[in-house]
Amino acid sequence: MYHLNWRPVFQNFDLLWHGILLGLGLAFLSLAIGCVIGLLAAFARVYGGRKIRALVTAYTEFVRNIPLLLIIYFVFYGLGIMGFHLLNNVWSFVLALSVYSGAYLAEVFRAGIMSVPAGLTEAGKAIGLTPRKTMQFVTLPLTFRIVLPSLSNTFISLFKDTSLAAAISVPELTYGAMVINTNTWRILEVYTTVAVMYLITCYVLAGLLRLLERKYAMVR
Amino acid sequence: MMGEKVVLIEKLEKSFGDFQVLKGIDLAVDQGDVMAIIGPSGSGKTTLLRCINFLQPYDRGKVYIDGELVGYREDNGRLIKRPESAIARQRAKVGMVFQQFNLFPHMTALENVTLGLVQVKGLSREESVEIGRNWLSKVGLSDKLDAYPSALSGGQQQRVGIARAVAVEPKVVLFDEVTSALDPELVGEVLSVMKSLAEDYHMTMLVVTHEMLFAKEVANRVVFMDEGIVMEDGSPATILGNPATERLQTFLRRFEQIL
Amino acid sequence: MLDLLLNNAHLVWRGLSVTIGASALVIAAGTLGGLFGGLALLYAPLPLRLLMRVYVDTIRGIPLLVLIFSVFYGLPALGLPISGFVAAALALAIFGTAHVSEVVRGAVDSIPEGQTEAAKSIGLTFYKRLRYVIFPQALSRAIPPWTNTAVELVKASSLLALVSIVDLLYSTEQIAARTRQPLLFYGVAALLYFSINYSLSRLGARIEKKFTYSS
Repeated sequence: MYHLNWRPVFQNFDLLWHGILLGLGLAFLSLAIGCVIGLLAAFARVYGGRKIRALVTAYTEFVRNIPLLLIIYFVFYGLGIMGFHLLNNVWSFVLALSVYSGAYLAEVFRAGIMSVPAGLTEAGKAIGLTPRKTMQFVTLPLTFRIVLPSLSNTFISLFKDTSLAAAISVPELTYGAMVINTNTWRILEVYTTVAVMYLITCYVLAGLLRLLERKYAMVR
Repeated sequence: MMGEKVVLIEKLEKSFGDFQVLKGIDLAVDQGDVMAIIGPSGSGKTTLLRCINFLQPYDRGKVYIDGELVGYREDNGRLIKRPESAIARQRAKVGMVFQQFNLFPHMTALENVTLGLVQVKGLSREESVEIGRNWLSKVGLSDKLDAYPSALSGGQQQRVGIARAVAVEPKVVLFDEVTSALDPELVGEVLSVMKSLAEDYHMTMLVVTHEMLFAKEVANRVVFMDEGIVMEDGSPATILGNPATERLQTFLRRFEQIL
Repeated sequence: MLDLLLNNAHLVWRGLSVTIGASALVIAAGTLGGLFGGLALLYAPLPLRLLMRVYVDTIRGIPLLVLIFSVFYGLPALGLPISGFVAAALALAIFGTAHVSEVVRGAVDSIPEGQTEAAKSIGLTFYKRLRYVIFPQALSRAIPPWTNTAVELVKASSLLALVSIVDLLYSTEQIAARTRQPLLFYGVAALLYFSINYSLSRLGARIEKKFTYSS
């Protein structure tokens, strides 16, 4: 008979708490870097020449079709050997997740840029804004407002993906669960707690992000 | 040079694929002219306007604003496209008011108007706000400075659009069927702003419109376009009261009640 | 380098077949489960509908890895004698069912209300409405997101490596560590995953074309 004993979990709760904070931080950082990658890729696909468009499309198509865990191992074990020893496990993970999210965000931003109504960029041109300023004052601000819901969803997904960092011993929430489990064998209690923590966090995040959307997202 | 035409168009041609929309337009606009451009849909009126401020590159012919060739420069008789930043500078001399308003939804009414003043004319923020306030109150929206376009009616949005276009003091303002997308009861407020621009500020205006009364009462020249060419060009009295061509007579028949 | 590849090809192949087998199994189970799950979300009596809703939202609100660990380590701890592979595959199937349920629900919900009204007005019963009007139209709308879910499941199968199941990723890890050629072997694995998923996507696109009616 399995007797529930929650004490070991609560005794080690700080491990889980720090794990969740680390997970949020990793997700946020990867989202930020992924946005930079995604924006550049989207620009390349919308405004670039044929070769660069093909190159970027190859990147996004390839990365989106391979497992994130594979990318993590590739970066951590593969690049590590090539001499990139500057990357410890945390930064390897951030790089891997950024590259992965960048491929998804490239499509998000590309669709966003294309759905800025043509009339608005024309209005910008008509008052004499240079292409750079049209981009700065019209296209980009509107693109961000249009893609805000997608960015929110992506952030929540990335937060769940941070659980894979446990595979290379990054001390986020899932790794914390593994550690407590190894030490105390309170499997059900640990994983139930961790599952609930993820659920609550995702729920709270979704709520906060919806508030943000209400303020800024484009309502057509 | 003295007596420079504000807008000079010579043998303008423009095709979209196989379809030739403009088949050789010749037009000259003087300072202070209020020119109404009328004609059936598909006659190329909107394309003509969009070639003037080079939102649409044209294929043959020449467009001059204030004596400067728009969009291209001449090199041994060949037309070479100017770089985008140079074209932007030329567009700053031409104002445009759009049928679909095209107000920037992420900016207030005042910000819509001051954007061009700060970023194109390089004025300071204080000056721009001052000028923006002035123009918005002239179009009757002094209480809507901080409103976003989504909170404004169609007529109000269009008046902001007009303020945005004229605040930067362009040489000529292009109006592309600016009342066609409005509910009928909102048309009047926009037309009276346009009338005031013509009579009080003597702006040079090119107005593509179906509002024949406006053409008759405010414009000093009316141009009739059909199938890509200028068929008739003259004073409102002549064009609207005494049409010479068969086509224009047919076209005007549907406006009999008004004229 | 080529001989390294050839020497280890059989290990790669073994891992690849586990991956393909597990993916196919989980996609089939998830699709079947999701079909029923979707129907429950749409048409079941309120208690069951709520239960399904909680199930779907919970599964989608936690990381797949946590689900796999919970099932893989949890079930034996509760006394259920379940093999590692079955436990992991079960976790993936639970995950897949939740997602496909949502896909089915979304596809049916996206059909305009007018279709159901027209079908009712010509006197079709509930079952016949579903069979002749709703589902044929829902099918083509469901295929793109279903294809996405299938691709996600293939990628998710790589997590089996974290519970020591010898799939493609696990085999690649071992070979890469032993031969000290991570770039080469992870690269090969990436190409293999890409081929599987890209083919899946293309297949999905072809099937979708066959079932789409222009309206």
